[in-house]
Amino acid sequence: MHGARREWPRVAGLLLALAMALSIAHSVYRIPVQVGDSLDVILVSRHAESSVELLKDASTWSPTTLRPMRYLQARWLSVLAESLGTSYHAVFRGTHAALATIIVGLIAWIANPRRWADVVALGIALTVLIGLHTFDAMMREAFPVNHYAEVAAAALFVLGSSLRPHRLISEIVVLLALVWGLLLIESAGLIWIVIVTCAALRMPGMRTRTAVMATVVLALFFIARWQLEISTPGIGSHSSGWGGGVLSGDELAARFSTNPWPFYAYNVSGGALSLLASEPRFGMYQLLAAQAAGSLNPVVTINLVSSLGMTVVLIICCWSAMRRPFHQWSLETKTLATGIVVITVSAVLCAAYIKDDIISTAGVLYAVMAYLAVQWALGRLETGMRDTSVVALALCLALVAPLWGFRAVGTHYELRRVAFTTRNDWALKSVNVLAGGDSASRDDVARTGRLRGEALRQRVTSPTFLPDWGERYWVE
Amino acid sequence: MSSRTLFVTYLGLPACVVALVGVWSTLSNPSGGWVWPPDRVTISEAVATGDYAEVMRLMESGVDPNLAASVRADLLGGSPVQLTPAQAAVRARNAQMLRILLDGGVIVGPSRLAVLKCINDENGDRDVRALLDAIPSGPLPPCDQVTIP
Repeated sequence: MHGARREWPRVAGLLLALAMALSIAHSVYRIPVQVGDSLDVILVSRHAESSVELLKDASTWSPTTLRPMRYLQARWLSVLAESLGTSYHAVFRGTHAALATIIVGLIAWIANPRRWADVVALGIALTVLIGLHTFDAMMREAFPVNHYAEVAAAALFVLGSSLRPHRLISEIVVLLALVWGLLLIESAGLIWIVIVTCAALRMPGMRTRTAVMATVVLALFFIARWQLEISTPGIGSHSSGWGGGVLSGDELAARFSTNPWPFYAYNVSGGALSLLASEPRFGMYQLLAAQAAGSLNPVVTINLVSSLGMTVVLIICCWSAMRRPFHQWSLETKTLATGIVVITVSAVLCAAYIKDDIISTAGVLYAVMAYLAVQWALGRLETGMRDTSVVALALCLALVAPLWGFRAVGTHYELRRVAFTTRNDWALKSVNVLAGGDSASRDDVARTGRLRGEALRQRVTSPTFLPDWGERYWVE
Repeated sequence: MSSRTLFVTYLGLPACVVALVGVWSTLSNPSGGWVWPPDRVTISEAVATGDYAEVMRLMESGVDPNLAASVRADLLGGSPVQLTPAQAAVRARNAQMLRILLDGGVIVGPSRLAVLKCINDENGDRDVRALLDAIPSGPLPPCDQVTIP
């Protein structure tokens, strides 16, 4: 009887995660396959005779990136759709929706709630995850599957398996995920960061040999980039936020090409602050922009207050846990330390180009840290409400919990708007133009026609029917 | 129930609401939903809301773009109205949509053109006017002799 009762929080946590995962997966699945970033990749991925040929070709297509897996997985998924006789939408969007579910599930797996207070902490952490703008960025875009979501899922798996007793199968999966991720997008270096950090912190599931093998994999990746003469994009390749506005690539190059360090420092600090305070976004401080425009949308205030409140709880929790000598660190403290490392490295990755996607893996780690921080704060409540610091913590949580819930609903709202614009993108051009014009092959035109037909058949809600106030309270 | 239990329950409430509302909206979505608005619209409503993809889908599935369809209240006025897609496009001052409709086979005879021009006179969109003026027609009746829906 007692055993069964002990299981109830675990079951409740699982149901909560399942409910949140299914609804976010549903919102993601409603978005049609994109024209921009997806169609071209799907078409090009089928031009090669074989996957091996595609792997070779795709490795040389870009002077600044080595991302052959982007094309390979697009090819495999489109072949899968054709061989199953199902729609491209079901396979591509289904994969993206599955990734959303996996990320939510992995956080619940890491959290592993045992008490009712843990379930509450998990609920808040999941609203933090879904409400974060970095999660929204992972869900709204696809290339044709969102690479950052794959990296985030892999990083969570590494962390989760590190917290549990070592298993050979987990070790193999971790290394395979790193190889897959590195050939997909450079941000997968964060998977290596998590592996090495977990090994350095002597987590039970992570062996030093895994970290060594992961380092060899990373070194091979850099050697391959060097052999293929792949360089790093410099300043001026993208526009970027600066203060309360946006500078074009040319303006950035003119201002910072001789001394890029102020720009790098601005972006690194902006990358960290974007996650910890929801400001700036893409390098632009909306508070400054609002000051110049003379009006401030409530969404900026809501995001700022909710993020700062949670970050304050996090900082107090980290400060309290990490003051102890290292040999006394619990697994929770080591998890918090891993989160800090990932957030720091993610901020550094923003040096040349800052955008929400780059800090999305840090975003999922932030949600894990939020779970631990809320769990710790609820534990402090047991010691009594008379302590001033505990009362301050309680007030902070009382403020941020509903705000994060509100932000999580906003992500669903935003994904519905994205579904509408994405579907409309298919309608405004003919199949021939979408497929690449007169030079398009018959296969390309046929696949484009099929994708367009599927996109048009995907019913979406017009933003006209969504509540007017939603734009001011949810859309930045 | 202790104050701590009450407080913890309060903290857990937003996440529970998000989860329940999420599940409910997922399950109820095919039938029009409750949390989120319905995604079923008539062709004229799709025109009125700038839903190009839905207009294309409906036309490609055989819906006649020359026939009037209902437009719910608050989209193009305070009350529900029956409009042809072309009339809805002119009312919505959406020249791009009007062009798509014309390219998609909407027939605009003299009487229909007169109605469209008179609707546009009320709204006054230059791009829409240019499109309507490009449609060949004979002399049209003045707007006070035209019934505008």
